Formats: sequence, structure tokens, C-alpha cells
Amino acid sequence: MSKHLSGGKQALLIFIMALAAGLTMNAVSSKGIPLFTNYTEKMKADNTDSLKNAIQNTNDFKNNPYDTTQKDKPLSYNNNPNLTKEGFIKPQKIKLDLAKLLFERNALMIDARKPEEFAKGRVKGAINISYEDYHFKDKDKLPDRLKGLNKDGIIIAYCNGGDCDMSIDLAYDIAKLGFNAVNIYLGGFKEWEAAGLPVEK
Amino acid sequence: MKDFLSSRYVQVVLQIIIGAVFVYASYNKLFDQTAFAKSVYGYKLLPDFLINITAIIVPPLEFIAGLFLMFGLFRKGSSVVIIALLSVFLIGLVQAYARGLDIDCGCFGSNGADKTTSADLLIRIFEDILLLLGAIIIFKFSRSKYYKNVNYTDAEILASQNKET
Repeated sequence: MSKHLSGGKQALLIFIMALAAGLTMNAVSSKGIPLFTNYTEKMKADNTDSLKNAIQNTNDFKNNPYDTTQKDKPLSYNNNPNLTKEGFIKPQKIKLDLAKLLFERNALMIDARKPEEFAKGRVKGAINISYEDYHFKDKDKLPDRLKGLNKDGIIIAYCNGGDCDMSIDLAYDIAKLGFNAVNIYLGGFKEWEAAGLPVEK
Repeated sequence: MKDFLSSRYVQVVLQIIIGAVFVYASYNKLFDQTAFAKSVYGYKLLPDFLINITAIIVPPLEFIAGLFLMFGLFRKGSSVVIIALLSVFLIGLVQAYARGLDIDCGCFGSNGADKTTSADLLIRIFEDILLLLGAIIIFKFSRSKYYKNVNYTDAEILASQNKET
């Protein structure tokens, strides 16, 4: 067979086989991906200036997910500006300043990294829901650690920062479960630690 | 030297080693497009619209080309594919090293969070170059099995055929 095909044609044939196999496997794989993702858009922070101002101007904005007595929705989520077509409230991608502010107002910090990394150092008081362990196994189930919590409580997901987008994907999983005030801190643990903010081991 | 490089033993050993490395390297990536796409993104080399499609096609490309090479099928084509892949990987690795990027290599499967240190990167670059040399030897010196008893490489046979016509 190879007698009749030039190297270039053989390579082309291999390429076509790989393309067909790749597309098929991606379609059936539980870890498949869309053909295109706008990563630049995905990793960009949202404009949260007005939210930040609103929080700074009030002392009432301190919904903690563990506080199930507080029934008022947090300020910015009153008229659901981020309500998606799918019916969940889109997580907001925030920077250090707002993450710090929300942290000081008792937001629940969720570390999306692996348990080993979580154990080595984390934002003070953070809980660990490892994206890798959670997303591919039981993402449609409420994690035990979030059971019974106030769904309007403020949650901040983070991972390592930089290119790490596990916090973004985890935040969407959590938002789809009905949590209304989910945020993603893009700077992640590295930036947090470097800024001298509270950490623990 | 040419005789040595084109000898059956050298050729078969190289084919099996390089083919096996590629099949092994593809194995973990074949079933985890998500993690491999993150690794590809980390190299900051491709525009957004090429990242996912690269993560979808590269693992089966490694697998098929590696398997073919191991069994001596389509040796020219599979070695060309492997040379092309290794060249792209080399560019990715070298630029990541030079820019000091914090990447997850994704070389033998990706695990999302673990980072590759710059010392690891140098090892990967070295491995890549070795494999590349091996693949070039296969491409340039493998003899067509239809001319088993003649001391010519495919390229020389092709050249002589062209001369005749």
C-alpha cells in the first residue's frame, strides 16, 4: 500500500484519520470541549465598579452562605442583571480589590484546586471543592459542603490565578445549582498571598 | 554512516522507540480534551480559535502516527507527521522557556493544575530534540521494503526513477 503513496499523501491520510478520530472522540468523551472557546473573553474580569461602590457605601452587604437567617438578596443581584437564558445567575469575574472587600464581608471562599494544593496553603477560612474531582463526577449534585446553605450568600471561587480557569468552570457549576451570588477571583491564591492577605495552612 | 543509519536494525529500533513514545504520550490526552486544551492555552502560542481544535486533533494524530511507525506502516508519512509535531512542540517549549511561562507541559498527558518547572522544561526540550533526530533518520534513511536487497534509500530510488522518465 505504502508503495503507491508518497510521504506527503501518507501524512495527509494520517491527518484526515486523526481529524475524524479526534472529532468523534471529543463528541463522545465526558471531558469533551466545544470546537471553539473565546479564551480572551473567558479570562477577562467583568466591570464591577458599580458593585464595588455600592458595597462600600453600605454596611448591610455581608451575606454569608452559612447565614441562613438573612433572606434579602445581595444588592447587585436584586434585579438579576446577570440572569442567563439558562436560568442561572452568571458568576462575576472579579479582581483583587473586590475580592478583598467581599472577603472582609464574610464571603465564602471556595478553593477549586486539588486537595494537595489546598493543604499547602489557602485563603483563610476557604473550603475546598476540587474542580477536577467534582466536575467530572457529580457536577449536577450539590456538594455536601454546600448543602443547606443560603443560596443568596456570597461565594468566591478561586484557583491559582494566571491561566488557571478551574475557578471559572467551578463557579458556573455552582451557579447552575442555584447559588445567586457566585464570584470568581481571577488573581487566585498566588496574587492573594503576594498581596499579604490572610492565608492559612 | 549512511549504511548504518539505513540498516534494518537501526531503523526498526528507532521506529519502535519513537512510535511507542508517541502512543504512550497520546494515551492520557485522548480521553481528556478539557485538560489538554488548558495545557495548549498555557503555551500562549495559538490564537483562541485554534486552541480547542488543536487539543482535539493532536492526541489522535500522535496515536495514529506513533502506531503506524511502531509497525512500520506508512513510514514516510508517519515520520513526517511526527517531525512536524515535534517541531511544533519544540517551538512551544522553547518559547515557553524563554518567556518564563508558567505552563503545564501536557507532554505525556495533562493534569490541569500541576506546573512544569523550568528545569523540567529543559529536559523536555532535550527529549524533543532527540526524538526529532530519530524521526529525521527514519524519514531520510528508511529503505523501501520493496528494494530490500538494494543499498538505496527511498529518496535515491525516487531520484533515479525521475531521471529515467
